Amino acid sequence: MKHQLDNIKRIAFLLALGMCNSCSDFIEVGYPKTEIVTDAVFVSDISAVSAVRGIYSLMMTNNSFTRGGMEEFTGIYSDELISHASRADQLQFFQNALTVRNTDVLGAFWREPFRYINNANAILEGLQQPNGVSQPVRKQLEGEARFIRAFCYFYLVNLFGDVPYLSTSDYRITSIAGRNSVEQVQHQIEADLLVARDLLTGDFMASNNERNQPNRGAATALLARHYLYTGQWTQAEAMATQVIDQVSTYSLVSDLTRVFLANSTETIWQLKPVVPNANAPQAPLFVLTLAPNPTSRRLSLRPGFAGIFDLEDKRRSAWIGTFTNAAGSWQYSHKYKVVSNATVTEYNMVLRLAEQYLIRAEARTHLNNLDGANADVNVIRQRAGLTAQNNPDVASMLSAIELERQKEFFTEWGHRWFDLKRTNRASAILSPLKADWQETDLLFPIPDAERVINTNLSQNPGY
Amino acid sequence: MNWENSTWTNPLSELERKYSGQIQNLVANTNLSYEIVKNISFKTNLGYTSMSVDENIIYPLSSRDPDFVAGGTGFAYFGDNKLKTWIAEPQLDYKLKVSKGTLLLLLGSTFQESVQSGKTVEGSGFSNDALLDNIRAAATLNIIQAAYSKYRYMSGFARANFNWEEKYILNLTARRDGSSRFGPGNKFANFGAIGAAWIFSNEKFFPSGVFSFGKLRSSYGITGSDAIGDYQYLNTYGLTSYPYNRSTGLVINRLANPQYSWESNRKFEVALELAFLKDQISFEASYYQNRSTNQLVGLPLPIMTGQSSVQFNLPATVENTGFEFQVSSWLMKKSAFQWEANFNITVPSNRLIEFPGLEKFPAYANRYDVGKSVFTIKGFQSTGVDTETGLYTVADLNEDGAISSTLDIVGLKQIAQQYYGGLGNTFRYKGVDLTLFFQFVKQTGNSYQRSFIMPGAASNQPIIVLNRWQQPGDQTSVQRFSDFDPTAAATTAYSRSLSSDDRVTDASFIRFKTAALSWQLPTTTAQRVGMQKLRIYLQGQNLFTITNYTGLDPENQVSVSLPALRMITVGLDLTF
Repeated sequence: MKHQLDNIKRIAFLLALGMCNSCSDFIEVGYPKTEIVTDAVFVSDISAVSAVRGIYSLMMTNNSFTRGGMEEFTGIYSDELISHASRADQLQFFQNALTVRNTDVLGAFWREPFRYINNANAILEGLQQPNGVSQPVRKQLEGEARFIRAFCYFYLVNLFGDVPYLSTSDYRITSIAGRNSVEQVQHQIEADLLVARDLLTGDFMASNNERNQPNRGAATALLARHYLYTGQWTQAEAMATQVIDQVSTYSLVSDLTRVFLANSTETIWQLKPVVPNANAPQAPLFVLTLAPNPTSRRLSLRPGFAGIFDLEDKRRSAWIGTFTNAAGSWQYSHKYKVVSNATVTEYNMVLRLAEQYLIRAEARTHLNNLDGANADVNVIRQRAGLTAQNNPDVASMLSAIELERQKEFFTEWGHRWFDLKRTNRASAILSPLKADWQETDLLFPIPDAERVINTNLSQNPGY
Repeated sequence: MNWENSTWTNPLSELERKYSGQIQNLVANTNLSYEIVKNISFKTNLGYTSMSVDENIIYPLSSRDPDFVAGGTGFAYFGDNKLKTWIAEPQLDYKLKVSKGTLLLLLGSTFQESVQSGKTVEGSGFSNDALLDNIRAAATLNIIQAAYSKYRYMSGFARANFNWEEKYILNLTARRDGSSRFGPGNKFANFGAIGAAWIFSNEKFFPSGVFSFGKLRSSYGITGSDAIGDYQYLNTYGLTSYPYNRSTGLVINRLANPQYSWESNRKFEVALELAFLKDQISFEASYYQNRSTNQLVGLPLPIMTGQSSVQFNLPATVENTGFEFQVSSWLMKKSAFQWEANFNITVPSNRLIEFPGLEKFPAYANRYDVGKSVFTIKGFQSTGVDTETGLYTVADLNEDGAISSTLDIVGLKQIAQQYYGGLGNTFRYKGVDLTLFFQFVKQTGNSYQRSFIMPGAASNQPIIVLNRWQQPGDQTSVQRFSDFDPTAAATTAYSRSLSSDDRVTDASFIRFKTAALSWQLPTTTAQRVGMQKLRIYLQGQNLFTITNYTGLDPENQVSVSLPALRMITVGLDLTF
């Protein structure tokens, strides 16, 4: 009997020991093998770099404002493009009748920039913690993350007006954030770009000598645009000059058909295509290999658009294509040529030198330096095979710049839409063209899906 | 293949695409039992399962629109997924006689692991469609998905069961459960239960003859749930689909809440079981009350946080209560003819008891009210089709001149079962057996019209849309036809009507669920012709349904997919 009890005690003891000692170890499953926990991202240069490059990869993978979204949707929203699409959400853009449930506003223009901002914020936080990233790489990555955050907010604030300014990745804070004023957001954009400009280098060493990650030149160029949009003419001129003066790095490409090639000398920053067989997203969006139809070829240039170009303007032949069949003839944006090819020759041009000339021309006009302004505009005109102009006064100079920007940057990154907005010309230009145009269409609606979950988000007037 | 200049997707292209899948499944189970000394035994249940799925889908060039694949090739997906699970449940039993009672003690534990892994590879650049099955013939391979997750669960428990002369029974359970699905510090939780029963028909003072059996029982217990995904407590980065600048991209794919823990359910039940006339009639009535708290949910986040949800414990308490009655009776128990009937009914009800800080959870505040059932549909109040515009309208409840999806909603109706049950009859005469079973449900449900899209859209529509509004002054219940709708007025009106009380309807039904008739040859006759058993049967399922519900099926309330099928089976069962 004693022996039996000993046995029982021994077994009970072993069982209890087995349960209580190994148990907390047993249910430790470690980390998933196919994901990386945040702390592990910033242990080395190479994985920290992957986190920044991951954002560019998303920009060129998702249905995003960065992947043809600005071109398509602001093109049909303004006066550049005709939409042949049958999808209701796309028609809403074309008719300037966006609803608070529009899925493209939510997806391409709201979710995507905030996703990149969230990643950029997490990178900035990761780099602030003790980490294994070397000092030069840390500077470069902080510069790029700040650039990305500023870049995304630039588009958000110009599309939506007041938006929540999020500087943390903590969902407990970001999920209840309300909207900050345009001025507050612009202040943060400027602050980020100034720091980025200090931290980044002027060469392309960090991006394998390709121009596909923003460097100091990109931060300076975006700052120039920011100062132009906020009417800070002296700074706009200074920043544009800093870019233009780097003549060994940046120069206009004289052959207009080669401007958008990968790493062309005009490139300040391009996004590199990542999807197999895809080149830049613009060519498959615009180039008409078939007549326009509701699904695959849904865009053409507004009839008469080519008429704004002089006949001898080389941009007209280099950048505008025509498709003709028995049913009719349509013109399309032909800046990008490669619809599909396994070899990538065209990158998605985000910032290019020509813009800096026209930014400086506009800033100089406001600073009453008309000679300088004419000189800058003429650089662009001469490349297009046009004669030099001499606009005698501020008003004619400004309208010349508006027209030159319209011709130079059509179907590029929403330049036209933003120009119409910032110069208060949208209503004058669009109300004759668009039956349903209203002054409140200047801002996109804040998506209803967001406002239902975050009641601190207010709505824009008119929605 | 005709692509009509890329204006449509030719449905025949699907026929060119081929899918093949191979599933392998291994299941092994062992029970070991060893009596160490008298009354003490050691038992273990061991189990192992392994499942693998090998899939491959090919997209030949001929299945693709040539306009989109200029210079392209066919492509193929190669998938490979595995799931391996093992479980070990060692336990120790101890049986002890204490005076007139029996004490059963049980000490046990459970260890479980489940590992899921898989990958999908996309191959492209095949030089020839004939080589699409060969992964090596692909010029480019892209791993588009690679998944891995490991789950571990363990539990230690002790149970005591005391039975005094088959009259008084007491059950006590205590357990400590641990799950890998919770973050550090939250992995373990304690649960327990207590149950007691009194079989009063075994009492001497109870007059015999009235009841053949009588039992009163009650229990109360707390259990936990970890039915969520793995690793939700970790902030993680995942790989982008494509590399950038020669490095694989890393992006945030989960925002984590490290604080959530076990969901808990408190269950209380009290029941009375009675049997009369030598068990000819038996009756059971019970009342249950289940309260769940700390519900594990994906809390919806505004997408501007970067993600759409985060794992969370809701502070809500939801109560499910109900009465259940069951009667069964041998109406006829003669040797040649037997007739047994049984009937059961359940009356459930649901209530949100409390939700502290509900207003801080807008995603829930729009749907739930404390004190009401969680099945209450908070939606617009329908005011029918406007006779002037021909559009669905809803009431502007707060009279601010605008319709708001947060301010103008009210919970008028609920989609829930009021009661349900079944009636079964079994008749037996010699070798003939007939079973009939009816199911009945009193409930409200989604109108069949929810299964369709907006009137006028290019899609199949129910016949009622022919009564649509057509000109000012028409009084009808269906909005005007609309397809091209740039201002979204018709779409908005339609989507509001979808979330209005108009779409809740009575979906009660009585269904003749089963009828089974069989005849079995008497065993002695069967054996004479060299068989052990010969049985012929005819079975019918879902034979008919009585309902006022329009649409295919009041049970699933979806009118565009197959409802439960009526099946008639004829069979012959021979055993040699």
